[in-house]
Amino acid sequence: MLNEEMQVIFIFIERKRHDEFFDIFIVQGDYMNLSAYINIIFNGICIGGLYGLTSSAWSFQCGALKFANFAYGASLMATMYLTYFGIREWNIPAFIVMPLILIFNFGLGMLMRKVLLKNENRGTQIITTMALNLIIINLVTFVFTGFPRDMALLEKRLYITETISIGATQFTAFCLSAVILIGFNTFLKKTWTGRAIRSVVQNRDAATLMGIQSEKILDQAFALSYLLIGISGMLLITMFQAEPNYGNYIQTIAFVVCVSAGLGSLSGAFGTGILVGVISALIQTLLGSQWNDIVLFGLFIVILLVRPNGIFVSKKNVAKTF
Amino acid sequence: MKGIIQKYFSTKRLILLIIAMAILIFIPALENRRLLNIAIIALMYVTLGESWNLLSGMSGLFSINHALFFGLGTYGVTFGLNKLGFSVLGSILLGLAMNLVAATIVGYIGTKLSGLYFTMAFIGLWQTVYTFSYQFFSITGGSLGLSMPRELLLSKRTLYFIALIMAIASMIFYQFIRRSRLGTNFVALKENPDLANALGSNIRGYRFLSTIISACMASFAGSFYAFYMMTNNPEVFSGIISLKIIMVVIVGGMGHVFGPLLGISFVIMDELIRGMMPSQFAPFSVIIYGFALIIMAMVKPEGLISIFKKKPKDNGVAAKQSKKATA
Repeated sequence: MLNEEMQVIFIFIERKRHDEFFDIFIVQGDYMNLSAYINIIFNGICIGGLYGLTSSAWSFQCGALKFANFAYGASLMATMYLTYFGIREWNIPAFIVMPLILIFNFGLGMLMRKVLLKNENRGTQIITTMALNLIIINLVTFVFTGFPRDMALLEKRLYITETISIGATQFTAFCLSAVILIGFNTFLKKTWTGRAIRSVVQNRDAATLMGIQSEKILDQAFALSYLLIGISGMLLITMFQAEPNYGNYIQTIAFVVCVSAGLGSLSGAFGTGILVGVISALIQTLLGSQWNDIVLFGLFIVILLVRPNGIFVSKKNVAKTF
Repeated sequence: MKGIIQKYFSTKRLILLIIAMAILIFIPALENRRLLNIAIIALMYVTLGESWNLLSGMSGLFSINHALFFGLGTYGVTFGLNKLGFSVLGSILLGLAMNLVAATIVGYIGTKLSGLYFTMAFIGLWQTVYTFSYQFFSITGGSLGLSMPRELLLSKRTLYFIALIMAIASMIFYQFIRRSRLGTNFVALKENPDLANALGSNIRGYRFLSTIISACMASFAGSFYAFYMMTNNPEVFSGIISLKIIMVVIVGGMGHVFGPLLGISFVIMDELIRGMMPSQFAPFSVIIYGFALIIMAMVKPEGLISIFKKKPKDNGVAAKQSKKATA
């Protein structure tokens, strides 16, 4: 008798859980409404554009300039913490904090280039930057404590129709990151400095013979990529919580985006960033958020095994064999 | 037998080794629990250091998350004993099998692509396993961990001797591989892969093999750690353990057998100091490790071992070659 009662209770619990699961899709009393999916995809696109901006900085450093920088995630995380503390805790106005953080990032980039990445040996670069990564994480834990921080911005939603809407901050961040990436691309293509950077990346000896100071140009390019990290860190804090280990997570996201776009391609990084954002948003709603990292990073390993030169890239000479 | 000993160790080194062994064997006789714990951890890092040394110091493939292999060894033992009801040997083999799968994935990517992609694949796999160990409470025990059966609790003295035997075995194994034909091929991978390939060495196969051997060595250390802690914890995958493994080798001397043995002096020093400091300053030990690693890698890449090495005479090699030529 007891057993049967237990079973009834069990079925009741199961049914309740089932309903809760599908609650996400209930919009105006309908199951699996189409507008819910559209909302999720819009959300993914907005986050994905930001992923694209963040990972294009790493793509530029590692694919184009050939600096193995594994302290990238920690630099982003430190920027996020500094933005939060500057605006929320120390009450400095935003228009003063932002230039200060950009200067901090510029300084960090120059310091890394002058001290750690002076060494041409790839192995030494990997080890020293990894050590710097852990140093930054632990310094942040000591100074700011490991408690996760959030800007807690009030979310205004822009309504397209009655059911479909986009978050205002997310949309602004998406537009900003698109504008910045387009600006960066035109800078690389049109200006003299940009062309010098590209020539040094392609063939350093020939560029030096043509009268370009290649060391100086590489310094400038690396510092520029750190400015990108500064901007994307400031945009990331508007959407995500900052915690000491967040840097490692966003670094792996950058790997996923860069490898699937082909290492070194900036416009490709933006496109695949959006793709990764949408896939991540769909995984979170359909499977649950605990599956997000596992599926995404498992996908990364599969991409590395199957198409290491990038999903949409047909060139064979991007990744060296030896 | 005498010839074999002379081939691997000179007489001077042998005497030094015997003195070192005498010191190591009598540490448990001091009856100091804290000292014994530090000695066990330090000896475990010798094994892990040799494992990293084989992969990165010898073969030139840089894994910056070597704690992945270590942690999989720990999880294999605890999972096998707690959830599946395996015997001790069976659960150690389970950890080994998990490591083989991970090493196959990473090693396959290492054979196809350059070193940077190898490091990235390593980080990707590490992130996946790390989040898996945290998120899936029913399988991995989450952040609480799975505890081992009580009857397997070993005394500290036994654990110390197991760690000692493991450290010595790993050092002998490293030296054996270094002196064999296999080791020569591994070094060729690091020094000049293009030339090695041109000379007919199967560099893809050797990269694969070095990853798998290194993973197995780290797996044994991880299984030992499970018996030492009697539980598992996602923190066995953490970056701090990877940093310690790398630092032990870099400080001691990369690509040398006695590198990790010199490098653990740093771990011992840290453990001794940490006992006196308040726990609030715990992040500082990692910061100091990081700075030590950066300074050693930038300033003295050959490590502390270079102090003991004699400087090679300039004419030595040339004179020998000329003698051979005349003969």
